[in-house]
Amino acid sequence: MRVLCIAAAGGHIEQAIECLDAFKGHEVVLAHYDWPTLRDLEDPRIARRVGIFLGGDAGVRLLLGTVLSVFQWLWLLARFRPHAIFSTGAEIAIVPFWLGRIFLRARCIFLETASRTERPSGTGPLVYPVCSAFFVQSEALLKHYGPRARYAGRLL
Amino acid sequence: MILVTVGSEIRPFTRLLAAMDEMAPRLGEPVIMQCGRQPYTGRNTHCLGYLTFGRMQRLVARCRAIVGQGSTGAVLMARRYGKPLVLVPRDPALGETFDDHQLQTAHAVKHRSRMMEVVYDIADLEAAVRRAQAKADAGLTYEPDPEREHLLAAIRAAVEGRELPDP
Repeated sequence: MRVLCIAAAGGHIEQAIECLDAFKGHEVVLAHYDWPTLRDLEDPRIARRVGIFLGGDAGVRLLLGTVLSVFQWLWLLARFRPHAIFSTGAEIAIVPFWLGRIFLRARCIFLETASRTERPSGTGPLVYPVCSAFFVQSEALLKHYGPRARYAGRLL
Repeated sequence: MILVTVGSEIRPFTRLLAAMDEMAPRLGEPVIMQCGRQPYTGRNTHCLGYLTFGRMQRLVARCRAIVGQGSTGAVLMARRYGKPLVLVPRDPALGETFDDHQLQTAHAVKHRSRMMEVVYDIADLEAAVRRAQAKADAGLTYEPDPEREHLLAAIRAAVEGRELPDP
């Protein structure tokens, strides 16, 4: 089975690394922003790493970068054809979750970041509609989501 | 060696860096600070800017204790390498970050392991660092966490399209 694992930088990618044991025996492609600090990321559990174009951190540059990244995601999804798409956030997951669900019918699994213990992230509500499984790391978040949201434990 | 990390946040966290630089001569071991985008020159510490993922992991593996911003990344790295951790959450009221997510993280984890301690008032930092050094001296480690294992099993089941295990 092919798993596309998606994470932004910082705590998001640290959480994604922690989850790699869950994909043992499957082929994992890790997609993250193409930041220079991530270019030496190596892990024997990852078959391949892909750097995703990022226009900027916020505002118009982030919006433009997101639009351009749609084409990169389409290429990546067409080439890799994942059976499952997993992400620990943040906004980097929005485009591939919708594209992967609509065009590939891939299972989309989102893990709300551990830093959100009382209120949802900005990304969570935007990917929830296309998720086949949606995990939160704090039971206090369940009331903010629908019935597919589930607390099954936490990384921290 | 004590490793201080402030992550990749663009806002300055001088409160933590200045306090660590001031106390460094009294700690009895080198202090290395990852200062991110913040131009900071310590008198008593060695300041590094951005570190690559691999270099950061190697530094964490080498250090005896970590003093970090209140991020999930700091907690996970400390757990991964079994290092005592002092968390200092950035305070949005002081312009150190954009919202209270680090305060939420710190509040959530502060009682989860004997290896972690949260400092809100910078005046309490030196005592907390000394306790972290004592934990390293004593060879303490993190306790097993069944919550983590259960979450990974649930994610695996979801990825494979199986029924999720009971909570």
